[in-house]
Amino acid sequence: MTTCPTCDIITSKQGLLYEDAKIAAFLSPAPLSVGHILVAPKQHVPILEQVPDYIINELWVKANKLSIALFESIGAEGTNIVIANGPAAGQVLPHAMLNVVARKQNDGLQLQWQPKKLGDEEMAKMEELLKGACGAIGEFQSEPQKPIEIKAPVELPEKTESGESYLLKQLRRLP
Amino acid sequence: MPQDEQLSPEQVKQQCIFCHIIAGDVAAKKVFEDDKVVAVLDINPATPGHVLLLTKEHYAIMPQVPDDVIGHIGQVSKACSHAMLKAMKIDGTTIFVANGMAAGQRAQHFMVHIIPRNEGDGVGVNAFEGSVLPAATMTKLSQALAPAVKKILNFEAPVTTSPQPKVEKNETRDKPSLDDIAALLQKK
Repeated sequence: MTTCPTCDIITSKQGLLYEDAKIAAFLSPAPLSVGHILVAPKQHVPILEQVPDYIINELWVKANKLSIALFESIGAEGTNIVIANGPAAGQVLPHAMLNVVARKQNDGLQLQWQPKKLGDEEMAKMEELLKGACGAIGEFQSEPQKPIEIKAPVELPEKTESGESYLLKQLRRLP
Repeated sequence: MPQDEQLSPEQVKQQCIFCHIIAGDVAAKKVFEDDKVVAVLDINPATPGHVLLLTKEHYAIMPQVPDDVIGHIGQVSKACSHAMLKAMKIDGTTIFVANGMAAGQRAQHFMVHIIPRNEGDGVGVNAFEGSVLPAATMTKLSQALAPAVKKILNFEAPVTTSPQPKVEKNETRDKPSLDDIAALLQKK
């Protein structure tokens, strides 16, 4: 047992819908609808910003496939994919994750916001602020490569008198 | 679902306001752009700074988007959320996708919403814990999902030894296909 309920589910392997080396998916123990899947990195990472980019990639690709599985298996008419990043956004567990929520027409679930109208000045201010902040986006971490074991170099056969390599000569002899 | 008229991909793009925004024919406040995605400010934001991350290609719903673009959009949404947290006085972000009208999708172009959040801001995307379902319902659900997960994700959960309740066949129910769901958005 750890202090993280999500890590407990992942390590127990009980009821996992999907797992690979990096991520795991399971039904939410307290679902918003019948068909609420949580997709989380296996590594304990409290907030989204700490999840390495190559794992983010996996999480989204697999969340999309699980959403397709909800459409195909239980007759979902829609799905929401939501990340609550921080307590102000409704994050309750100390483990970053994606919610994949199956939806049906008029299911009574409230996952909406009231659209606002901002003044031109405030919109212009936001544009400038975010343009500057988003300017650095572009470099994404790729998965670190495992070091390759280098074995002792193989002795290359010496060239024959005709200048042709031994290997080539062997090849020519093949029927 | 019968469709009155089948639109060609070109006609769909012609009718899509977001494709016009991406092409630059319609003015929008772009905050980020690369070869696959464009980020613009939502003109009717949930909170100030609400960003829409759009694929440059036209896709109606997420299941139609290829894996490399999905992965990329996930990475850009994380980076954009990070940029917001650094630049603005906010406590968190909500990253939100709606697939299909039943999920609240209104636009006919796939997008990811990135919404800056503060405690008590009134944005109604806050509760991610519902009520606990009976164990039998959860088991049925896992069993219903397993074949689809096997087919789509090529993954089979290890067999459990405990006796499993029988799954009721429920095949008479009309399941909408993904194409129907995408077409509904177009028909509006």
